[in-house]
Amino acid sequence: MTELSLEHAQHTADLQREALSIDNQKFAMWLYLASEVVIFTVFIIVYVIFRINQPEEVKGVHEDVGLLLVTFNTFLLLTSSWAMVMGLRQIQKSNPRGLIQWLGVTAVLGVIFVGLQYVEYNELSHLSITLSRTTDGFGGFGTRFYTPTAFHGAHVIIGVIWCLEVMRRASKGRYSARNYVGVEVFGLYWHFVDVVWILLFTLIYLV
Amino acid sequence: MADENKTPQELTDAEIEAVAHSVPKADEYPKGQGEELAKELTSDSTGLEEAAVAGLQKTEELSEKAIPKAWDAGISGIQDAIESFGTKPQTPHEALASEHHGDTTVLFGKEYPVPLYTAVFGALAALTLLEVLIAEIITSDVKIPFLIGIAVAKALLVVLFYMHLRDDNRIFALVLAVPLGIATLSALFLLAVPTTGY
Repeated sequence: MTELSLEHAQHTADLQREALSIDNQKFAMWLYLASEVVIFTVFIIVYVIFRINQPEEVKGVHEDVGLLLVTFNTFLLLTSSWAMVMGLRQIQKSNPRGLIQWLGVTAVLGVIFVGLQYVEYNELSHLSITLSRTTDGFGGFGTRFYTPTAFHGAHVIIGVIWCLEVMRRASKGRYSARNYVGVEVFGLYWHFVDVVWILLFTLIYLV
Repeated sequence: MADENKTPQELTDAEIEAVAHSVPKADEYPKGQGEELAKELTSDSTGLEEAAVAGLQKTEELSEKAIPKAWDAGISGIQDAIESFGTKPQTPHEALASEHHGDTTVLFGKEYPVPLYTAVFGALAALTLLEVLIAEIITSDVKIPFLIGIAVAKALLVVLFYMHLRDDNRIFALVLAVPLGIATLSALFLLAVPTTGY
């Protein structure tokens, strides 16, 4: 009886440890995202200081640049995030085919986002919003604008490549209802990119 | 027939086969032969063996009584409980999948037939439209706190529901909060720097 109690206590302790344990891959991803938080915060602070010190320049840009394209792009990214979690839901329901389909939507929306960002950059360059201080017509707005948005765009491109890799792995049966941490880790990255855009959209285009 | 003085290692293959064929199969034993064999065995057993057999018989008799039966039931119950623990418990992902990220959305205690992820997406879309409307309608800087408030709410929706921070281990929230807190404090400190010289 004593042996049985000890065995039971040990088993309960194991279960408690398991419940409190964290997934190493997810933890690593969160640590990586923490480093990204610092980088993007620096970009945002630089922009906010510019916005505070030179409000007229920013207002001038807002008057010249419409919101239609960037709002559409914002919806694309929000939709891609939704597609991502819907894909996760499918693998949780043991449906790898559904996961691949939803991730396909995510990747396509990501590609369109980057494509439209390129279109936008072309339009802005025609409005004399450039990286060069000598050619920029808005007192250095271009540097403060392109640095965070281009850095974000690069993240989207990396995310699309990663998404395709997750789809490839899913097609090979690497994920299941009990093993989908790889999908979730990619999801963390993609949603983080979405969160960054939510903040950039408001701060740069609306405020 | 094999030589009985030989050890098993010394037997040839043919002798082993002959021994195997000489042994009757289980159903070939005449009825009652097993009991007779048992009697023979017990007849030349020692006193210790007899005591053991008697002890086992007594235990069997006692096991039919109420108290040992209750004891057995208790042990079985504990064993069942342990085995139920043994089945893999829900991982945080599975708990998430079954409880919070189901196919319905519970809002203010009422259940709606819309997947939670879709409901969050609807909220994000509505808030984005609201932001754009505020930015287009209000031209003064009064709009700024509203816009920032909405943006933070949208970011929180994504982080809490899509990135599962609402249900995941608190350490993830800490990992996010520490750099965010330090960066925010640094920004506030930086904003305190005068922009013009005296």
